[in-house]
Amino acid sequence: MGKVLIIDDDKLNSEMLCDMISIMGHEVTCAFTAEEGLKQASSNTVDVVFLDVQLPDGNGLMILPQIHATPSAPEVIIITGYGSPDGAELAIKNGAWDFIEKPLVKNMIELPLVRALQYRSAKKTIRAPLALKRGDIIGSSAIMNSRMELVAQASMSDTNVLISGETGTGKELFARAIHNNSSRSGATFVTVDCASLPPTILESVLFGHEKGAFTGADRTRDGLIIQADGGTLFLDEVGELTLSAQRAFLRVLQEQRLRPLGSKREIESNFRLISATNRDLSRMVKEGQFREDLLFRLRTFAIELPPLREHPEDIKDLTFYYVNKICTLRGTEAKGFSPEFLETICAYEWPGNIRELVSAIDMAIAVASHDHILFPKHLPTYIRVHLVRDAVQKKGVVPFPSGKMGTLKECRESAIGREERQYLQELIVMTGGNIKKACEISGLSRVRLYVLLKKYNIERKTSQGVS
Amino acid sequence: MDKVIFYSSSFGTSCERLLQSIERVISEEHIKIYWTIEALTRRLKQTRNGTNVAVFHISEMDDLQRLISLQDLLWNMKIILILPNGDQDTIAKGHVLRPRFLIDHDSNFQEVAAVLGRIIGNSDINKNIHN
Repeated sequence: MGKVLIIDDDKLNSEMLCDMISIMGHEVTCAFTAEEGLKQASSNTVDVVFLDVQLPDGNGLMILPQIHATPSAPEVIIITGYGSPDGAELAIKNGAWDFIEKPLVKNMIELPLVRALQYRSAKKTIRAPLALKRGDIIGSSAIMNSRMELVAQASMSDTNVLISGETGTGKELFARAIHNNSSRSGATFVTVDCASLPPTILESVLFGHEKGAFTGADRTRDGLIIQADGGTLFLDEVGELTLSAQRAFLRVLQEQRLRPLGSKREIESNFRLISATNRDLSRMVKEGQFREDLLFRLRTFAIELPPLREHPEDIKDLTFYYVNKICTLRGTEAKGFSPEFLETICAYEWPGNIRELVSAIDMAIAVASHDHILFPKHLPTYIRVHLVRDAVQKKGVVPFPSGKMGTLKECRESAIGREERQYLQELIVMTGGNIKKACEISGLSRVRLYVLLKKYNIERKTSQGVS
Repeated sequence: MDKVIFYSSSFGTSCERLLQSIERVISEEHIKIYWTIEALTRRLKQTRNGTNVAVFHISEMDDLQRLISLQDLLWNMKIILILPNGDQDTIAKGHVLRPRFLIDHDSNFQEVAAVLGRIIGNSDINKNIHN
């Protein structure tokens, strides 16, 4: 028996659905708004949610991630009277189990509900790893937790996995996490960087070759597929494979054997395949640049990694982790960071994602040199320029929040006040609230310093980012 | 600015041949060569400053083992690895460093040059996108 929650403001429809599901032998509750639905999902055990899109207090699709983040992480079936292909795509991409249109009839809801409940039941009986090895994967947001759940599932079988996401989102880290948590963790993890291998040598590197197979083949060589026997083959940037290589590789996946270039013999290789791409392979299929049959095989299990701008709540943890890691690797003293440093980092959009963030932290630590605290000024100039330009553009030409232009004296005093406040904040953080040290650095008397601290409401206690 | 970090613990025929191949795709002023693991370690502990490509010419297994112990310092580096031989065990050990391209001393180093050229080309494109 399953526990089902219906979130739909249409009371008649809710009643009908409630009756259908009760007759099937399941426990059902109803909510008529998104807020009420979330409250119920958070406080009760729920296996499946039937979620309407058009709710009085918002679009149901927008609360999908929040429903998934509730303690029972129920499966969600979207119901709507206003179906559209884009809405359906968005629902599935956000983890919806299924998408069905009103008017609802029994045979439309029965099968999705049964399958969702069967899946949940199967999930509970599978032994999850006691502690998932994450490596350098950092983040505890709902979206990252859902991806780690997928890593755990992928690790438990040898299914082909396709990891997609923008550059710098950590596709290789996830591939290694799957390998390191799988039964093949003791065997080789072979990386094939399809973007780095010129097309002229890609096939011979992948499949191997016999001596004399082509000009320059002065000896027999095992390809990477053979080298991955017993282990994991990671095809990075799989979208860069030539059509010829795709055809040959598809045959390997279908037959589980390959023939090195110029060879008469076939060789078996028992490898687990993980692929990664930052390209839209479905569009490449439509454009004739990627084989559809190969895509189906690669994508038996799919993991889509979000860009960093979609989980900004993880930026703080990432910053903590990488400041610590890089200082340790460099053999330098641990550095703290000012609240403004973190604010600046959180304000930037990171188009290069986590890789760009780590690179910026690396630069900041180098620039900071013997400074114990990281400030915004240590970050690469291009980031600070971008944020300042952004801030100026958003402000427009109005310097005062009220929209009125004050006198030059007012403007000057306002600017001095801002600079004084920022200076004093940085001074207190740098000196750890030590007034004697702060006076020495600033040249202020003790009395004057206390007056200024009180004026700007700055406390002597500091919060350092890293111990 | 150094684009490539090159390491070899010995300078013999193989190393010379490799450097000649590499210098066909990248001028020597952009290659920083390290002859000892200590010097390499010191460099890897500094900021990358945009240098994310390394070519390691390994002469013996001890050398490979020492590099594996420096694995953490090699985060985010694209590595081209030249191994002392093509034995299965040696290759399996080489893969621990997650190289983008792996070959042994007796191989055709023109392939190394071709791969290096592509890696540097892709790296320059990515830098322009984000700056």
